[in-house]
Amino acid sequence: MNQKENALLSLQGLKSYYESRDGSEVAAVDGVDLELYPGEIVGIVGESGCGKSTVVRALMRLLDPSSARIAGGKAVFCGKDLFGLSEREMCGIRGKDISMIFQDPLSALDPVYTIGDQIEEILKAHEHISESEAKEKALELLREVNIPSPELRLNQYPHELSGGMQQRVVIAIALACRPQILIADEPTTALDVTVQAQILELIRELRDKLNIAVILITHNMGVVAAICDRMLVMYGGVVVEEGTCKEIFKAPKHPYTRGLLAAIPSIKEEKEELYTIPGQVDVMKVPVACCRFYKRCALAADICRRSEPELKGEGGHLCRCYMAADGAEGSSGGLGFGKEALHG
Amino acid sequence: MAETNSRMETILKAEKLTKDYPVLKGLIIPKEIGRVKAVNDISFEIQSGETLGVIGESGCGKTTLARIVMGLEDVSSGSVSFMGKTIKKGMSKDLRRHIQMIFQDPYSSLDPRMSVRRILEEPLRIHCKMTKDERLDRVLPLLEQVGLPAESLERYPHEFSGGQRQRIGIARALILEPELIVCDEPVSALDVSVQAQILNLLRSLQKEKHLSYLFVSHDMSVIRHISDRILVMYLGQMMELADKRTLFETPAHPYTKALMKAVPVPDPEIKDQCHVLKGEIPSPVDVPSGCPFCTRCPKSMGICSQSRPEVNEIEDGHFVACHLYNKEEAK
Repeated sequence: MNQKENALLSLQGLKSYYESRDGSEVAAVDGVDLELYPGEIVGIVGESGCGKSTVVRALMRLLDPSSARIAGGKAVFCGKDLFGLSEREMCGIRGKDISMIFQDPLSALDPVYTIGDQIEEILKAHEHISESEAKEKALELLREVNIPSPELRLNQYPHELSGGMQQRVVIAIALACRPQILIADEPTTALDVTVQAQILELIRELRDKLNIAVILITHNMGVVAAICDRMLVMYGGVVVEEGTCKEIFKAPKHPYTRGLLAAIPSIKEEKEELYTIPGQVDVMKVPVACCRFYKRCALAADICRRSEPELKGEGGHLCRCYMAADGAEGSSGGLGFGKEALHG
Repeated sequence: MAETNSRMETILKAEKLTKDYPVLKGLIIPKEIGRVKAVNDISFEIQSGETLGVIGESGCGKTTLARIVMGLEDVSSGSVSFMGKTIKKGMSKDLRRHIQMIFQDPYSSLDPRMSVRRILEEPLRIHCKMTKDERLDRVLPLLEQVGLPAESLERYPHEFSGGQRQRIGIARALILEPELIVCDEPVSALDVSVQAQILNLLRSLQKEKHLSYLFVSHDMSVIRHISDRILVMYLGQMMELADKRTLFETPAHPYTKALMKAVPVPDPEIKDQCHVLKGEIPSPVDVPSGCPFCTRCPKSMGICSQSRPEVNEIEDGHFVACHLYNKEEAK
């Protein structure tokens, strides 16, 4: 924790609430802490509705103000709280210091401008640069993301490229101003597996070369295991488990993480029946005064109903659960499924 | 599963299925400039009680294949038959009721203005002469089987979550007691925990009702979990067909191997994940001559770009279309 000063970005107690139709407020994100260091890839995983996308949208200040608000917390980047900046100042950071890539590359690109125009646009917006310099730099960027025959691509329109190629262009745009942080929101969900592998490889390669920090949001445990260093598992707007990928995949502590891993069919081994987490994700009306997972949890006890556990643990492997804390490392007794189901 | 079954019989037989679509150019007077072979010379059989998984990336023709089997598309050549009767677009109602379908998107496949009761009773109204009470007697136990409460009957699709809607879709497919169900990516729109529920449900229903599935998916691990035999497709052509164990333990085709390596596995200890296959899938309009995979294949030889490999049976029930396994050259 003495590294705290070097953190590139530090989210402290981020809360973001949406207004629901009956006027009450729903906690999409309810107190999330995150520290990001240069050169690391941090994965945020969870199912739909767990608030993983809202975290980064709040951080980028991209939430729709008519329905959502940032209800508390700080996002400290380079000594500044992003939530205290004016919109104008934020524009100077967005796309320059912190940039983002999205799930669907075709809707992230403008269909009526050429690839070249779109890369040059961001360069001209953030840097004093001449037309010819911008063109040259755009070409260089396309080469950097391994697009074949980049000279030709500069004058093409997004629809002329394949999905994987479009995502490479989006990544080139995101990297144009040499950001310190790259946020990737489900960057490979819309792509085929062989292309997904290429894009993941590219993200890892660029991280090594440019030493940028990456926040990768995904619902795919395999993707996290393949490229992330650290991961956060979210449920109901809070982080339920945090740690290095190695620790979490080897010995998941939280019943939700365990269930999630056991529910994935395996490509390596045969599973007779998949473990299922009963029920479905609940809407979290504020204030919440119980464990958010207790209704679906096989371990739930009285205390889980009465108060919400804290995120705590040793050596950076944190878990938000009353019942997991005293459970022995790696043992899964009483969970309703055996260890072989977890790793099989 | 199929081998242990004593009642094994072929219920669906597809022979040399080919489907091509015209490629048109020009807005006012469209001219045909070529043809896309969405499905190209594919043969397979489905036994009763087994699941045939079809896997492939986008544009490989797996959905077209499912639509042909459903009788929603006519073949350009070849034939497909169910229990000896030909499946085609205008086939009779009597034949159609034996083959039902579960769709990918549980949001757009249910009519928002129909209650669950109407959705489930509609097939009965069309295919059976039944009184109101008889219909209800069919619907209620089925609802319970797919894990929905009886109160759902008078509710509308928007009141349900994605997983529950998919259960409604499954119940609708089952109401006529079909023998074959075509599942087109039935779990790819669902979250992992819900996906597991639906996969378990599909398997238990299969055991109970002795159903056969044609299960189309792009997800290798889902396919492995649900299938007995697996058909691997690439750009409309069959690359490999084998039972599950053979395919996963000794995959033969370079494409199958690449596809398996590309899937990220939830285990950070495995180094060198996401083994990268070079290049992207060529456009189906412009399929490479010879083997469709030759442009990306790590083992590509001279012959691969010249002639299309024949489908060879390299061991019992294991079919591969690759020059590496050509009988004459194997020696």
